[in-house]
Amino acid sequence: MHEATTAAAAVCKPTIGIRGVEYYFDEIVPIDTLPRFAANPEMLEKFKRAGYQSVSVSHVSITEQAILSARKTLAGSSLAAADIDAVVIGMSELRDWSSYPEVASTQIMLGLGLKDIPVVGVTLAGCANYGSALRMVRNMIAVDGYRNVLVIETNQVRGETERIYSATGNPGFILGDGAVSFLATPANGDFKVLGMEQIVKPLDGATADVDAYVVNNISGFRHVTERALAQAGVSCEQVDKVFLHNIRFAALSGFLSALNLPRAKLFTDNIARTSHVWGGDNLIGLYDYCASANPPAGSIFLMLCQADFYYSAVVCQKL
Amino acid sequence: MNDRCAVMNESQRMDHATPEKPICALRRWVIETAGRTDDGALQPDTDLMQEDYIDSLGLISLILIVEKLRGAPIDEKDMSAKNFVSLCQIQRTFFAGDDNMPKTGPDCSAPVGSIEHA
Repeated sequence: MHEATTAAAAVCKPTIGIRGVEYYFDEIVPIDTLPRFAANPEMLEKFKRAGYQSVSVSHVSITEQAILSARKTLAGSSLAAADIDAVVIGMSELRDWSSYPEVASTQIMLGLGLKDIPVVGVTLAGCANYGSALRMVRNMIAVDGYRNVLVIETNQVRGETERIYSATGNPGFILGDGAVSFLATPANGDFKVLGMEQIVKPLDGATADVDAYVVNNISGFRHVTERALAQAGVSCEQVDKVFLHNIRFAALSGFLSALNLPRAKLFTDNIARTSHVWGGDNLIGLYDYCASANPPAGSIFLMLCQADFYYSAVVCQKL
Repeated sequence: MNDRCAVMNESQRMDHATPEKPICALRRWVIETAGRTDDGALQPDTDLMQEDYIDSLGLISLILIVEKLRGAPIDEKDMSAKNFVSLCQIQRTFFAGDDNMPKTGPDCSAPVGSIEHA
């Protein structure tokens, strides 16, 4: 381990609270209705066998869905716009966005009635933006002393962006549209974030094959999971539920095995329901799981996310 | 083929009364996992992925089996696909030197299928 890494690990990390998790889906449609599947029944059947049934599809803009989610978070928190100290916005890509990125964030601010506060964007981690956003907001709370930071992750497939990914003829994943939001606070909320880690572990994409990706994924997930759990002071055995991306279960369960986590701990309901909602999967899954299963206070959750060669792990506890 | 790979050939000819070397157990697991019979096609330097013995999901199980057989997690610096390309390479990377190898391995005389899956 590098000296700098050792020094960073030795620093006591402040914990933050999360409350008011909400999300917005415009419409959830059967995957049969996706044009590419309609034209390729054989591929459709493969994806269905892999566990996919429906996908969230937005007919509103990427900023509108962010606003609609964040309004629910604010409404549930009993906070006024003036109580929000800062905003962190995550978006995985702006490939088809016709304006500069700052226009998107400005629209969100206007839609929420927020002004005169700092707004920070996270984008480089893509579907692992959640990990970046949490680290950002933890540091803003610890260093800047903010009390209520609104965090929004919003993504959707637009223009030429591909919704269905099927490498080597096997079912990969289906991108769904949606936004998720929450408030981060220095005090306890609905959940307490106990530990987090994110790294980039790059391979040469030009030469790396699928096997290299698999090994890299195991190594990357182990790296961040071990460190996040150590920071949280909990063991693998103490984790009650694991939230990963809504991709093919067979791949997920393999990674869980590599992390010494039993497959039964994996939350999988949204694979069939929404497909892979970019960087929103973890928190949307956490919300749905808590709403349906009502786990007891003290339950420990591990959230893992990945985007290309970004790997994130977050450990939190229900309060 | 280098000297270390020769160990593999030796392990394939091992007397069943001798404790099975981990790499021998791994070879048996690979053949079983691929749904094949031991017809000698799997050589120490056979490319496990190219020759369809292991697919990308099977690669995860392969890593876990290697860890189980060596009795220790694989170090992050060794976690590279090229280190799992063949039995020979696996032996070279993860079972190099008898001192580092478990003194006992799965029973070679046990029927195929007895190795616990990852």
